[in-house]
Amino acid sequence: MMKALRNVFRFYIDGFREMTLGRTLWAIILIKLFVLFAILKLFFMPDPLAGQSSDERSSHVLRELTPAASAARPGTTPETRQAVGSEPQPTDVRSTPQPTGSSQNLKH
Amino acid sequence: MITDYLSTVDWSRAQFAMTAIYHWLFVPLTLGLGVLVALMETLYVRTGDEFWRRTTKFWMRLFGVNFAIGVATGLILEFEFGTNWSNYSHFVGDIFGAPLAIEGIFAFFLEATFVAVMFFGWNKVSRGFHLTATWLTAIGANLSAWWILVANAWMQHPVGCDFNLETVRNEMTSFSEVALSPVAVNKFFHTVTSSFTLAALFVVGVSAWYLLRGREKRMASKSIALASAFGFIFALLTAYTGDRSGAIAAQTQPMKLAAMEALYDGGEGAPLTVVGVLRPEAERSSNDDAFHFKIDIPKLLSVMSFRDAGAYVPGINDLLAGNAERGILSAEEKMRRGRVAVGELARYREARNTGDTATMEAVKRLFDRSTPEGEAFLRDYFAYFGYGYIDRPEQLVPNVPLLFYSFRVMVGAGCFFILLLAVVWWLNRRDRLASKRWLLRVAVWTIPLAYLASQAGWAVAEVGRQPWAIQEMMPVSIAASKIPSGSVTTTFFLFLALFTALLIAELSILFRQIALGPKND
Repeated sequence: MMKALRNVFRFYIDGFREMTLGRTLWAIILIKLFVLFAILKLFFMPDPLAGQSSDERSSHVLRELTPAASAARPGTTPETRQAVGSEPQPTDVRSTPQPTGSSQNLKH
Repeated sequence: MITDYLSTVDWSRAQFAMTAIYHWLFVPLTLGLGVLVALMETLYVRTGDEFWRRTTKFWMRLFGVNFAIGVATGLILEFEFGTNWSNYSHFVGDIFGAPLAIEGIFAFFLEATFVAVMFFGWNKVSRGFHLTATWLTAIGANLSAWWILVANAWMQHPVGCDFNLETVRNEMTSFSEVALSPVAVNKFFHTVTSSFTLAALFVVGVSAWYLLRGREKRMASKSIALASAFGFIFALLTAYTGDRSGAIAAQTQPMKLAAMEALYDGGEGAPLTVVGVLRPEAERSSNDDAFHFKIDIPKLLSVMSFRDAGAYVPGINDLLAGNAERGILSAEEKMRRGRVAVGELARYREARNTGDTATMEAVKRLFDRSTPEGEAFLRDYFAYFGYGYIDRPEQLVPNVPLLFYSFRVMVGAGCFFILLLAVVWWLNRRDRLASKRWLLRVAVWTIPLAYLASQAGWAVAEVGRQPWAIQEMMPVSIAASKIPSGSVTTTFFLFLALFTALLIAELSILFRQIALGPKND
């Protein structure tokens, strides 16, 4: 087991040692990863929801999804819809068969 | 404040588009060249001919340059999801997270492990094991692409999920529905086949450059023989899968299809516009005034959309105004239903804030698919949730000229690639290609055209989805984080600088390696 691990380690060490073009490419990769994680992610790309509990996150997104303008607007609940008799009919192109073969098109 | 937020959304979109465009400069060549290199190495292992070993190592070197420069550029897209699209990320997290996590595992274990054997293993492992590593690297890259495209396809056609009111997240109800949705399957094959075509054109173009300079004639000729045949087959498959993409869009994203065709008034036996010049936006309102001129093929759009020459294809006006005869709801009606759904969500929020458990339970029942009232609400109202954030029906129309012209660039270039690859293969087989210097020059200049066509394809797919981040479920205006536009602008230019530097590095290293040519062991 140890011998196998030593061989794998040796394989990588020799591979890196014998690189020519690879050295330049590895330098580019390392610089890129440094810029990505140590500069961009750390200083410029914070996650606004990071550090919040799942409840706080859901409350935050719920606030974002329900701006004050649309919040509890009158006539939008099923009860009030029924009261004004405006229950819509569920007709849509998605529920209406196309002339021929359209639904089969989606099946492989 | 509202102006600033709109500006934030625009900058966030621009930043994501730029990052994705740059990322996609590296990915398709990795996907396709990996397979071509594996095929070349297979020829080496089968024949034992050192020529194929030398050829394989040369193309593998170019693959390595592209792989190294491109690796991790996709991470920036994931950073952007967290920073600029935090509402979206939370809303879809569970569904988006699973494919991306699987992609990470494949990328790490297959690509990262075997790519080392591929580059370090010559003369150190057996030929068979090295060949296996090369194939697994190529397959791993393509399997990684599968999961990314599954996530993208879900945004185009959200399936296999339910909305959880308490967590405000969509949760996966069927992994197979998400992973094997027709949109995902076709998107994967269209993307991969087009990437294989791009890689084939890259090999043909670089080989043509050698022939133009009278260098490495045998390697160039054999590489062209393999890549042109490979590319021709996959260019045909790209056309086939592209045709299926159109048929699927007709079903799932009719507005995208109508905008791609600048079809304002729907009809039976709809024609396909081969070429045309659009009038300015203010002058376009119907089929009669949409174009300065155009050339149509009668009934072809109906055939491509529904496999029926007489099928009805809805136009932009039909999709906005509705068409009761065809069972198409008007945009206004969808917006009204969407507002009802958003209103219920707001009612839940108010109840949660005030501790009104009775109202909370009442709203929860509406979002519970297992109850009759829930099934009806989800079907009749929540299905149009995203429309609740749309202010005007016109906002539902994507950028028609960008889609119309991008689609024609992609299809026109694709047809040209099929022709070019067939001609190059045939002339090369007859040993007459080297004397056709004009054709060799065309082959060299087709490399940037292949990239342009590939990017145009993504423009059609993504711009055509607008205004939706998730089709009909969440518009980009709601998906974006409410952060100052200045910070997005700053990172936009930082990424622009970073990617441009990487691109210059790639091109300069790539050109240098091509100029050096294959090396002898």
